[in-house]
Amino acid sequence: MSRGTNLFVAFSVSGIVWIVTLFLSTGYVNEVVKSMPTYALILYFSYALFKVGGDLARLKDYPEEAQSLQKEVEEAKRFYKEKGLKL
Amino acid sequence: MSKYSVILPTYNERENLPIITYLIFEMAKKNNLDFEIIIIEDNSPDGTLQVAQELKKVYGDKLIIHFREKKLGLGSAYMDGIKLCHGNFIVIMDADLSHHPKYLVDFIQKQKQTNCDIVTGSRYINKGGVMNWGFDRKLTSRGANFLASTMLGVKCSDLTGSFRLYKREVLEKVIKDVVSRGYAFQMEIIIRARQYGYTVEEVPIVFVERIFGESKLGASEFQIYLKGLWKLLWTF
Repeated sequence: MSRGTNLFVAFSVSGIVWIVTLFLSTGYVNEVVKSMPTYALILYFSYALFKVGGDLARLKDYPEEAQSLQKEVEEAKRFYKEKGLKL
Repeated sequence: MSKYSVILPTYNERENLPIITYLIFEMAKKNNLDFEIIIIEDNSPDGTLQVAQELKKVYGDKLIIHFREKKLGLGSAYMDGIKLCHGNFIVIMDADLSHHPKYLVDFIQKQKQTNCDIVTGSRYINKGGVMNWGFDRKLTSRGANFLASTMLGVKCSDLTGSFRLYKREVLEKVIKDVVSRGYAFQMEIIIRARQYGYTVEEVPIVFVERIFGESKLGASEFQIYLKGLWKLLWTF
């Protein structure tokens, strides 16, 4: 079974269980069960925010890398000029 | 002694090609490594082929040029390149200077330390990074990687990265089965490799956005990526 099939089955089964529980439960429990899908979505997006946001906050710019690359470009051009290449 | 073959697909890279070639061979000379470069040239209108032929006068047999009549894509470029490689290790990287050859020393060291099958450069681990990217590009890239890793259930900090070192037999085996194109192609290689039980190690790299030439990245790339990701979901 592919990952897609696994996820589809997992979601479908969870969905059926949720609907059945919704119909069978009453009162406060019913309220909690009703809000579970929303809560699951919020959890996933919070995790995404935490992971992606955290990584982006840590993702550094390296201006010195761009500068040293520029120097190496000049070095390469000098090398080829000495070899008499027409580029 | 190990021999390393670099497959360099080129399209409109007349300014970057001499620089990347110089950097690769300088790195190899400084570190006493045996390197060759296989250029897969897809008939660029800007004269990249003529530049490659000029470079061959300096580098001789260490530079192999494979000319193709039209733009045929990365996957076929790698497959054509593998047939021309003499090395027992193959490096895949971009020709536009965003992947600096100096990291290959770290890749090789990592491979020797762990005897892993694949070493992949990652922008998103400690000491990795980017340069010349706006916030929206960073967000798109990191978001895309997150989406792929949660949807596909794969642990890899930089799934779409294309700066990698492979054991030759590993790349030969995995690439035959790959069906995706674009970014999904790079992701599929890692997923298939893991399925076969091959080991993947990561090394931090700093990705410097191209300084010469035009980027092949367009607005439709994200759509292609999503389509590719969707397909992968049903492939594995």
